[in-house]
Amino acid sequence: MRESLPGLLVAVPLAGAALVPLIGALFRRGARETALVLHAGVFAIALALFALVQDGAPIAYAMGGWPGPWGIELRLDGLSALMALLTAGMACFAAPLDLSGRRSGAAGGRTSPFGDSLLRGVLLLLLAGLLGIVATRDLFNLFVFMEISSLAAYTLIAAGGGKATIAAFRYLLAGTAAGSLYLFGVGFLYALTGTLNMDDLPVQLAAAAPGAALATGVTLIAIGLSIKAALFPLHGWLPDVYVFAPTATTGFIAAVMAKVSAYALLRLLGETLFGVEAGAFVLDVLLWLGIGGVLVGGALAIAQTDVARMLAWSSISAMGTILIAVAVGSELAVTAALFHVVAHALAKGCFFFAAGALAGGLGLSRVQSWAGLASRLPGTAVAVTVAAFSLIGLPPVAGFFSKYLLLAATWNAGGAAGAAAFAALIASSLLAAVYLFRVLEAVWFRSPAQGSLLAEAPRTGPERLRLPRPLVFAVGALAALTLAGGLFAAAVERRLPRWPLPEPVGAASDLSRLDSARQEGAGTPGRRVLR
Amino acid sequence: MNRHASSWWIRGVFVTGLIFVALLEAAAFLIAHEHHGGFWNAIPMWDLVFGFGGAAVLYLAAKRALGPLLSRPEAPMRRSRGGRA
Amino acid sequence: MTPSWEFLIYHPGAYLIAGGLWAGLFPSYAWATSGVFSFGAAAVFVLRRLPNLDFTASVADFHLIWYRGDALSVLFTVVFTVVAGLGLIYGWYRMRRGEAAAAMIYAGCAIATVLAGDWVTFFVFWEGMAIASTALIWLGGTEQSRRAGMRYLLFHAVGGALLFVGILLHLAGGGPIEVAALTGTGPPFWLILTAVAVNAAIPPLHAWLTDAYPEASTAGSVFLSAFTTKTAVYALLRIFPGAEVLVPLGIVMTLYGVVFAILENDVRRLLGYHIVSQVGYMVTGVGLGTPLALAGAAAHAYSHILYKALLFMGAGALIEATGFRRLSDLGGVWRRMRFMTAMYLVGAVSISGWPLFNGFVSKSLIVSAAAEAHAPWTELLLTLAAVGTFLSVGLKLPWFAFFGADRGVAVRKLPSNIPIAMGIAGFLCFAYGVLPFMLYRMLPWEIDYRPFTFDHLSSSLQLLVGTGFLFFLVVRKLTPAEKRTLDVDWLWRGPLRGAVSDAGRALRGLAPAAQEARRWVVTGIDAGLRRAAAGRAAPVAPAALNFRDSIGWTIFFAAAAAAILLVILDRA
Repeated sequence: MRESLPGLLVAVPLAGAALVPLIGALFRRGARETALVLHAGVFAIALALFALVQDGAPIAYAMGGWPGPWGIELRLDGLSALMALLTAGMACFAAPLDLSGRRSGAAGGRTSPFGDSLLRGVLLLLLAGLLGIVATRDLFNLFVFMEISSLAAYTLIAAGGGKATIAAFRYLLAGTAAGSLYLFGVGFLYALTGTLNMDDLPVQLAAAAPGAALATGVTLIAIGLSIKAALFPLHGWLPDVYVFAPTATTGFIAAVMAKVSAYALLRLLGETLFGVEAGAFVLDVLLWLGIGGVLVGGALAIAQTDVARMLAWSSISAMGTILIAVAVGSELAVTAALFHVVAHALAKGCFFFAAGALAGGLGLSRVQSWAGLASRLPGTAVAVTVAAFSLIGLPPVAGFFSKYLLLAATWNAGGAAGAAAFAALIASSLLAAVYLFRVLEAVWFRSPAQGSLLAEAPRTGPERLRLPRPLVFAVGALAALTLAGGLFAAAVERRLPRWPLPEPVGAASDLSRLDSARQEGAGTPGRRVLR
Repeated sequence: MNRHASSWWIRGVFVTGLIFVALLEAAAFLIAHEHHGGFWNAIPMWDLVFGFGGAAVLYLAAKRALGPLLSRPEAPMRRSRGGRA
Repeated sequence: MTPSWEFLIYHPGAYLIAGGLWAGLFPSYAWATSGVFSFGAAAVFVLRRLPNLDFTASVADFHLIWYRGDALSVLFTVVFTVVAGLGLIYGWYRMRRGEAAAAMIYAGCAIATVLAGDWVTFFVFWEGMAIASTALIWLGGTEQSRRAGMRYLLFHAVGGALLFVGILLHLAGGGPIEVAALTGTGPPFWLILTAVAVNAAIPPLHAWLTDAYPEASTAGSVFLSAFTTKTAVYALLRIFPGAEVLVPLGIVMTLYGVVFAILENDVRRLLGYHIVSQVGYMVTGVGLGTPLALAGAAAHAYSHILYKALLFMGAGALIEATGFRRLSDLGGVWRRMRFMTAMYLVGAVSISGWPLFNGFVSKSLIVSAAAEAHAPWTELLLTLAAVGTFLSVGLKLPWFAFFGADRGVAVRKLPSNIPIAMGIAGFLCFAYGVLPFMLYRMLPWEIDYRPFTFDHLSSSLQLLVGTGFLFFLVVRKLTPAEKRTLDVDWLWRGPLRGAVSDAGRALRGLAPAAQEARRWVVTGIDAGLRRAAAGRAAPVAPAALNFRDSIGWTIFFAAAAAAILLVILDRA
């Protein structure tokens, strides 16, 4: 059972993606419930895996019975189990929601039961793709899962209709370019080494001579993944997607999707390709781009009047933050990056669900239109405040501790890059204070504008404003988790994997031979020296 | 001018003050006490002089030197309804 | 010292924060109930003598000391609790639910800051104080209060960031987690000092105070006057005792505040400048660093909170009763609000250092400490500031607001909670003034000081009388003008905004050029590809790929990055 869990982690949502539309087509009902059960099941598997890998031993599954380095191996260690748990958990919040993206609620009409079940299947497909990226140990398989997740994401975004279709198409252009670049890069590595296995590759690379082909491969992989991770200045696809996609999709995608690509970057550049000179150089470049992204994202977030667009730019800033930490690559920095991944996913998911609910259901998309929100939707106002505190990095919520760890990590990194990253993180926190407190001020300290929806709505009684129940649950639960992540920061931090991850011993096959080879050829991960 | 109609009050304060100060100075002269500090403490009636002169210096610094430099008319756009809070 | 949550029972700040949250979050309960309960509980534990204990908890690998009840913390806790109670009484009818919640959380955070034993807890509540006070300003409810609150928030966000970085560097450098005097003059020292200087309103970092305090509601500004700057004084006492740089800064503060107060027309802004001035005394005292000076700084903070709250209550009562906030609109109302006038005058003579009132017994500690430390010029300049204080708060403000020519301003009757709060505050100012040992015995430093010597009384009275003479000589010239005074905040309120919008305009001007460059590149690539595909010179077609801006940029950057990286890697 234990050994088959990684396989189930990917297989269950993949099978569900076919099953749910089938049920929708055959029975016209029960599709949503089936999808929910499947999401819960995937979450349970991820949780079990996360609990099982806490002892430090990874759990591997050889697909088709072919062990690595020849076959495709799925393996969950502390790092991937954390990402899988986060992804599956966030999907559970999105799953009960209306995925059709009829922004005006009931007024826009309902999708057919089959159409609805189709979209629920696509969400499971997206989940399968993301979990596959997290679990796989094979470079080409990673590409396949990346494409699966991307195609599913385009579909879910385009379901928003109107401008969302255009946003999805533009995302498709950028995502295709990203996938192609990544695949080219993998091709170079395969040509050099003859292997696609992430554990075998360093061994073969140690034997191969460094040269332009290797450098090209590494560079193309990094650029491809950077586009998917929305690293400045390759972030162009992101704002429109986050603004126009349906609420449920935005909340899920904004919380985890770019982060999964950042995870792939960390895996490949920090572990598999560690010690490759070009990889170290690329990480140095990523660090500076991350600094740029943090500042540009924060500055442009201030310039926005639309809440969702402001949050989108804030996400670009956050991805810059995460990539800074990934590029610094010390034990503390990776802990900080993971803490930030978790804290930001919770807070941004909460904020996007709330923003989507208000913009989609009630037409409140501009910051000004949120004036007086606290008097009509106090629960939402509290949740948004908690999320905003976390995004700014104010105590006592989760974001404060990730900011603390990030600053400590960049300070310890030293050098010009470390100092610049440190300063940029401080600046981004101040910028976040500016644009988020503008929202909070409107929410709490102003009365609704005359004649606006909020002003007209009664405060009590059956006619009062209400959000859909699953959204209320998602927003409330995520805010509570954000708060808990801060109050129990020590417990969360203890459960984050320590970087560099321990070498897998006898995980699937005779991989133990890698130990000596890595020590000779590839250096030790986590001992990067910043220039 | 109505604004300073109460100048009898000022005169009263002056006269009371003068008597009070005279008594004080007499007492200070009788119960002399060592006072460490700057050379200016040697000046007779220094505290009185300093109270008057210091206030004059501050008044001149504020009203004569800084006032013309820093005072601007109230912004015409200010929505304070003629100064109402 | 085992991890313990027991401290919550003893923590007055915890009661106030919990009461504030309760009042704010649960609309069906009148805030007054939770105000009474939380303040009552806090007061009980203050009166019961706070245990001199450390309560600790381990959070995120930090050994946190939530509660450290030593003499210095307890001194500030006592006075913070007292003034929180006074403020709640004062705002009883006027404060809305949200405002009361913000005020209680603000007070609770201030208490928790001074009771914090470690840097992390200290920082957490320091930030909480900034946020709660911003809310309090915003709840003033006017357009000005909205804008001033935003400026205030930005100022404190920067200060908080400096503090955060300073603490981080302090801890990263192996510094102890306990909040204690910092030694050495590395980056942590200066960062934390700057952050505390922001909250202590040391010029030129003071403008947030005089900008924002007058824009809160009348009850809100009573709270504001008490906590932020005095928490900073506590921090200075705790962290920087004897830091010599504070002496000149403090002297500049005292005189700066006084001079601007002489020019000021807005009642509460005038009092705000006097916060700057009075905190200057405390800053000087901390800088002098002798036990007498440190004790003086602590004692003066204690006195200052009481009489400044009283003065702000008086100013607030004036504004509530008349509807005017500028001296040039007021005058001659004392007959219609005799008790309020009398209580304001108690505050005014206290701040001016009249014998028998509490300003006298604490201010003279600092001035005498300067004399004993053989710093005669410091003593002289502090005395000069005392003269200016009497001139503006003791004479100018009451003369033009309460006395002077009667302008026939209508006076509303005020609810009785306002005179009650002012009466209690006035009584305390007087009580500590005649029984100074009540204050002295609470001080963390043993001092042997007798304020009521003949010398001291005689010189103080002469000073005040001399100032009085001058005032009545130049009273006509001191008539406040209907003008505003530029302070350093106009450096960023005017020109900086212009610079930002100019920069924005310039950037927008650049955009078309950048678009053109990108189009040129994309078209060029497109044409080149076509030409290569055709294998011969083809006419350049218009760009087939009509990218929308951002996607074009993304692919452009990806291509450019790939090219640049490859070139660099090839060279390497």
